[in-house]
Amino acid sequence: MTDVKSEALRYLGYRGNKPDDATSALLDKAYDELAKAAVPRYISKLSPKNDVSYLLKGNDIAAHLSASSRVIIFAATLGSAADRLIRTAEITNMAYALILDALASAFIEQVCEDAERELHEKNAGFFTWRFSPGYGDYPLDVQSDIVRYLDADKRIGLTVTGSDILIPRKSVTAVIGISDTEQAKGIRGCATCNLRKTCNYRKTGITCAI
Amino acid sequence: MEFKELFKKDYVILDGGFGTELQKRGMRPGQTSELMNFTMEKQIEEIHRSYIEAGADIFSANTFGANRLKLSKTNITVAEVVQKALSVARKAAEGTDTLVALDIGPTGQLLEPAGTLSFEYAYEIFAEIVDAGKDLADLIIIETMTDLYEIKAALLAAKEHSDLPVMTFMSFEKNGRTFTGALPGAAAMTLEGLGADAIGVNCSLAPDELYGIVEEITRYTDLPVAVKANAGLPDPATGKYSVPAEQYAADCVKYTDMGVKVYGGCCGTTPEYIAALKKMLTEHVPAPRKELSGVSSVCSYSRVVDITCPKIIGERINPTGKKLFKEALRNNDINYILGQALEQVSAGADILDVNVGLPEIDEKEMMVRVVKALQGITDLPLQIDSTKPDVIEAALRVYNGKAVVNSVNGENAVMERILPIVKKYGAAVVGLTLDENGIPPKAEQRVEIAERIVKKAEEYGIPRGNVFIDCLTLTVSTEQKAVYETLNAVREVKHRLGLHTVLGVSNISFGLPAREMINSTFLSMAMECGLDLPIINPNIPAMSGAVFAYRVLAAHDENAAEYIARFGQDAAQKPSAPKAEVTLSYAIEKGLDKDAEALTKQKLADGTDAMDIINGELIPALDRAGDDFGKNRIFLPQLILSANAAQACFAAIKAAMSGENRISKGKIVLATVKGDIHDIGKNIVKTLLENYGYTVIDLGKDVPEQTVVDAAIEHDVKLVGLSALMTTTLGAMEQTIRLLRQSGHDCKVVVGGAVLTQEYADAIGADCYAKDAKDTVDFAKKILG
Repeated sequence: MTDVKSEALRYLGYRGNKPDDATSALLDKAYDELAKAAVPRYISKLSPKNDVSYLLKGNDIAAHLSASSRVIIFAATLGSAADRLIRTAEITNMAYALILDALASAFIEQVCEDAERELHEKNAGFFTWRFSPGYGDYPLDVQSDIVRYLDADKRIGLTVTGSDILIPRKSVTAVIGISDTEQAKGIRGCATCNLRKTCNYRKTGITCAI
Repeated sequence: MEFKELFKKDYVILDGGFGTELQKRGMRPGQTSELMNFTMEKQIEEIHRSYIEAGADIFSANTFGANRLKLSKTNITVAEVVQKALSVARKAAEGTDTLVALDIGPTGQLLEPAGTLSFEYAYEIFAEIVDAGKDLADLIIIETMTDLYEIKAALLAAKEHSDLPVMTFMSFEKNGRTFTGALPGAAAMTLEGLGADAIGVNCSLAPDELYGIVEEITRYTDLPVAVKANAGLPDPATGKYSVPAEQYAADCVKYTDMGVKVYGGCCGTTPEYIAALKKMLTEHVPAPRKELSGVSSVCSYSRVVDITCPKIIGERINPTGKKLFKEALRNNDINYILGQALEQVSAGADILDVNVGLPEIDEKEMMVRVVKALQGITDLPLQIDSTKPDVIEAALRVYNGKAVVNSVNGENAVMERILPIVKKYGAAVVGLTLDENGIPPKAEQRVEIAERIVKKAEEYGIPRGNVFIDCLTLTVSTEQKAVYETLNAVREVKHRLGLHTVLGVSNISFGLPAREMINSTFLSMAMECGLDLPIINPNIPAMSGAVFAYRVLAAHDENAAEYIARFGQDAAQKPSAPKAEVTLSYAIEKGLDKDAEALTKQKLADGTDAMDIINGELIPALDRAGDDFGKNRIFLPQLILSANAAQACFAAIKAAMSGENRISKGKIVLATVKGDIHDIGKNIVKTLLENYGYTVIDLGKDVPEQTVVDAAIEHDVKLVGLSALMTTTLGAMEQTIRLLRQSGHDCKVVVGGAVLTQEYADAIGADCYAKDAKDTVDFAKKILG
């Protein structure tokens, strides 16, 4: 739980610095409110890699899955009430909205982590990291195909706009590769981050990892 | 057989799962089911026939996803798919009594404000489907909807583009709500109001998981209720569903006790399930439905307000006599209005009155904007306050729930103009007890007008329970004896006519000092006489407090639970006076907004010039906070907290000088570009700019290129700020800048957002790349001073 809070602080730029009392108090309040509003859900499908090749466009995802024979296509969301909470806060208190937004981002990551652990328990084999549309050259326009493949709108209320944005906003789609033999987990970190060119941390010669 | 005839039977049977049946016959995952109408015609006909043979009275053609959004990647039109599917279905039904339904599912995209699809466009999408299928279908089934707003668009399209009966189905989760938060009761009353012919649930859960949800629906509508559940969950390995046919039918027996009349199946159910249902229904004929409680209710999609005790209608969204509100309307400052709403929400309002009438603005356009914006941030039901039929209709059309219309009166012409609209959208309506002869002095005359209004409403098909009577408050300082006429009329209307009552309370004290005392005492007297819906300013503790106290004393608020929750910690929350050593600069730097406001007021009262406060304290303090932020001594939340405190300071100054010299260091247009909906970054920039004294014209998110150009020209701004967070929307940013340049309007453009870089900003012709909000302020200072 506190992981989510410290992750949120990292997104907010603190990177190990302690927040002041006012920010800490807002963070605690925001965490409680978000935990009440969010309805985390996830859905996944396991299939042979070749059956879903139409969802796996680009060189980077191919490289990521090179050693995998099966893949899990995965989607998770916090639900629309979390979006609404942030939207409402933007009217009355922008600082609070900002903190909620960061917490929600950290929260959905946590949901993905937990889901992945569950999937690991249910499925034998060696997993790659989660790889999402937008990483490297994996295009965002597969979002709608992934949502359709998973029936995610019906099953977890996840939709995609005409410009490939996931709605509810705090949602993730991802691909995990599985192989029967041990494999490299794949590239992770700055190399595949879609913010690598603009990252404020990298400009100052550091990374976001604490 | 006609739909109406069919529903005279004891029960009606629908078909079961379709997608799963099609997969059994060879459809592969990833294939679009609607396209199979052309390639698997025989198999589809076979599925339909199997359901007819199992006993279905109605079945759905294979048109569920046949909308232009879902078909956009194919080269087949909506009309082609819909007509092909219906002709296959008609062929299957040939020689039987079975009815064929045009089946309409969700668009697949989420409507505004959560998503980007506009209500109006969703309506068009559905209208296209209805137009394509109405001549071949016997009825329309709208199903698997999780957004009440979307199903409203579909139902309106069905009613306005055809004469076919319409059955509506929504999908609920175990927490008793849909994915978007809609409640079963809210769905039932809204859809009934809009003219649905049957209301049901489908998909998502097994039959034994839907009892509570279906029971709630039966409490809010007396229309036929329908259940089409899933056969439990599929096994991830085998795909086999967990609830077998016999069990499915057995689990449905409980619905017959509730009086549920219509049965079918959704995912995982097969003709075998439908046959089992038929057998079960011959043994357990559905019981007659229980009578409704008679309690009137209004709702938004996610909140139902049952009028079982006095409920507060907040009156603050109204420009009458309010300088700042009028200014906000003229400047299109929707956020100001939203702020007024949220203040009333936290003060305990149950319903919000919305009045945006001002002679110099387009009331209809403003009303639609405000209603849409309000329902994005609060789920309190709204009361649409206007005398103009076109304004009322436009508002009811885009309202996501069951609203109240304020108001009609006893004048025939007024009722004839407005009541048909109230009926069409299923709203409730306030009836003022006056007519062409004015306000009658005596209570019994007002009661008589109330009777006339309710009679007329019933003639239009509006149930009595949806008419709320306002017996009219007169001013005690001019007509002291009239107070008891009002109160007696309230008592009569409530207890003899059995109608709900509403009163604008604050009028009572015009012209008297210490108005609050008069207002709250009158309010208490009126509630005791039977006032259900006081229209008050809930932000005044004595007013909302009188209602909360009354609910305790009249034994509505059980164990005073609500009262204690609201006031129990009152003492602890009292704001303390600023400490002596806190200066305005310090308050702003540290983000102490209450202190900043109090200290600003104090300085203004002491005669300090407003500009001196801004230039001498506010801006230097913000600069120091900005500088600390740049040097990583403080972080973004703290910077914004400082901005919030500056905002409180600004608000105090504005309130003191509004209408005279407005302080502005220049105007800036801000927008998140077309296609992009990430606007938290833009909003942070806005907060900061405003607190440096700039006037921000905020165009919002997903803003069309031309709208930015038009606004820049209209407001003659020298600086435009554009935000984009997605690589996919950078093109729209580039196009916006190109159009701005082409227009010849002389202005600078600053761009920002996570995916932007200096190089990209240069490439698309921006004048400045701002890496954060502080950068934007620095650039604004350079351009505007």
